[in-house]
Amino acid sequence: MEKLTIVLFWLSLVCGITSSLAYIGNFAAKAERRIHTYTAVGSALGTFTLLMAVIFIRANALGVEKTAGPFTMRIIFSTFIIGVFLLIESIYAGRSSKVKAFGMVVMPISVILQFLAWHAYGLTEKLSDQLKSYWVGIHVTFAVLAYASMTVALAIAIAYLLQERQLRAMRDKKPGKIFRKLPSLEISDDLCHKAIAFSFTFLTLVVATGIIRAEMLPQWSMWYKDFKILMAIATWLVYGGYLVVRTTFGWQGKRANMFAVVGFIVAIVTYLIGNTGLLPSIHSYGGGLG
Amino acid sequence: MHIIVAGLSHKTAPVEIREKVTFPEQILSDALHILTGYPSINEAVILSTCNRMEIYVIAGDVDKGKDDLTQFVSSYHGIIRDKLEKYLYFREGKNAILHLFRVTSSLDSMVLGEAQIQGQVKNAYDAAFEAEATSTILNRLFRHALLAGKRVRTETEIGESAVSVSYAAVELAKKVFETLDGRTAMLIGAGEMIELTATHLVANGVNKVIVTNRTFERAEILAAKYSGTAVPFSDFVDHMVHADIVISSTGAPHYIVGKDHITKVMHKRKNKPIFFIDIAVPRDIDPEVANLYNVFAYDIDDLDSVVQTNLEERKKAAQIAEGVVEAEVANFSSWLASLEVTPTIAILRRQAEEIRIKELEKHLRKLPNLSDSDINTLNALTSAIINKILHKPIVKMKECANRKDGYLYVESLRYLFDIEDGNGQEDEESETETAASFIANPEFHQANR
Repeated sequence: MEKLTIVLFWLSLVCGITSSLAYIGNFAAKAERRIHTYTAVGSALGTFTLLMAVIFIRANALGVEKTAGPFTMRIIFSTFIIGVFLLIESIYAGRSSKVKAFGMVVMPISVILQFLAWHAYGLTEKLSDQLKSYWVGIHVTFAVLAYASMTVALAIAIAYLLQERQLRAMRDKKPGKIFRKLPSLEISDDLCHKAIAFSFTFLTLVVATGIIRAEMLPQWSMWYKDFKILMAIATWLVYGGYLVVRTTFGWQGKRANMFAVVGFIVAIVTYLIGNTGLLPSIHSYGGGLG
Repeated sequence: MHIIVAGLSHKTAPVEIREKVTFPEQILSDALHILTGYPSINEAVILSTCNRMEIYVIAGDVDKGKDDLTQFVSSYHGIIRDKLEKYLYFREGKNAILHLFRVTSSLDSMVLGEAQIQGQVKNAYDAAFEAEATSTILNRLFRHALLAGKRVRTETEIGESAVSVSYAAVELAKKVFETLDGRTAMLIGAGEMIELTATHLVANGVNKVIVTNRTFERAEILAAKYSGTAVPFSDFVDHMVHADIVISSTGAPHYIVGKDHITKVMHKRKNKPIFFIDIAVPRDIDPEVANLYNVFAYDIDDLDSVVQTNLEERKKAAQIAEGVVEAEVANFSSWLASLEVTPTIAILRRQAEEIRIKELEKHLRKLPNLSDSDINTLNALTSAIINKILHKPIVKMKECANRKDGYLYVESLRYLFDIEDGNGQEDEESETETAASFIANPEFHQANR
């Protein structure tokens, strides 16, 4: 079974690279070719399906406990990013064909994550008793979903900021690829909003499940002094702030998208705390579990 | 059979001539009947737009065809021949095919890449088809040309971006708002430029129009055109809250929309994006407005720089398009060559001869005792049979070749005898002048005349 999953994993990597190249090719090409689009979306879907298969076959054959580790975490991350992106693309396909330009960023990120996963292949995590719980499983899955949609939101926010910069300097800057191939401000702004709302929902659940689990265990009762948990709450506040200022102050547009970028930076810091041992945290479980 | 085009366009004739030599839809069918009545002209299509008038014909003889075409135009429009000849241009054979393909792909247009010409070519062809002025060659030629034009549009960016100020305004607006469907536009002023831009906006989905003008009556007239509302010039800023797109073009000597106005408007709009187009000179809208949050403001120079860049892009795309067109012309030419009678007959003869020799050899092996004279007799006998059988069809084919629908017979013959090859034997080809030889070597062809 392990051999099979390795083969599937490499296949998904090939699909991921093909898809990335097709998305980039479509962006760089003078005119869009339908075959490129089909290749891009088809391969992305292929990567998603193959990685899903790898995750489930491994969990089934080795047991959840033995698969828990950086390899699995990273491929789940990779899968979810593609999932969120494909979801957005299919929802918006009727409104704007330019949404697929984001594939140019999302697919390479997913490929990099797969390489990182391969780098960590075989590293297993010795799960302590506190972690052997469904709460933790749900907590971690939600966290990865939240991070994945944040990553997509970041790509969209950057696209928004680039497009707005172009639109504000039409006379000095010749309209180029950004102008022609990236979606309109309205679409980018709306997409970023939705991706963040999605992310925020899961972030809320992550914090909630985390706290519930911590409250169950006497040795974790001091969770509110933990840096990672505090940072996670900070991230939650920033993204919550995004949603609040958008509606109450009408900060849609540039300011909201700046918020999205700041939020992602805070989120990255939060993510790194557990993984690098930069600051003490009950989430320090070695390579990439938190 | 030769493809000839005679025409005049914005490149060769002044508007005084172009406006005289037009064939509006109503008279087109009549004109086509007169034209195909000339003995030298077998098929005809007349393309008549504001920038060009072109007549495509299939003629039996190049010189006679050209002569009749000139005669037709001069008599139909009552222009002296000598005067007309100064402005008319002619293309023939492969150059005529190339010309039509380039025209259809909008590579020959005044505004490179404009989209209308394809529809105009299609209408011209449809009219000729309905008037029964076209047959095999022009039918195929025009369908192929339209296909080539379509290919150019999908495979290059020639028609992608806006090359007029009012289109550029729409293109920019669509970068801020994904669609203009259901948007509200405010027009400040009621001049011609305003109207032109407003028409584009409405065509792109804007469904509410607010008009304001110093003379209120003119605002009302313009508002009625788009079933919108007119508001007094004194308090138009109050109505700006509802507008997503504002276009301004008044004769005011100073700014009529200031930063303070818009700050208030944006506050009321809760920072919903707003889009300004100022096409007036001197400007109506304070350029400082562009620095406000979620305000996108453009003046005439901004739009012009967009247009200039887009024109450059179109020129680049046109180079790619030329390649596409050339490939399609080659494609069409090879089909045309297959319609020639002489090479078809040559192939038919060769096929028959091959069968005869094969069968003869096969049966001679079974008759080893024949003398030389017997063999000669057999040879003569079989040859005679083949020739007798082929004689009638070949004579008829040669007859038909000069008729209008001669190609149909050639095509049927090729189909029935399964003749695939486009060219006959080399020695046969020089027998008569053919369109195929013309296509292969037009210079040689002209020198021979």
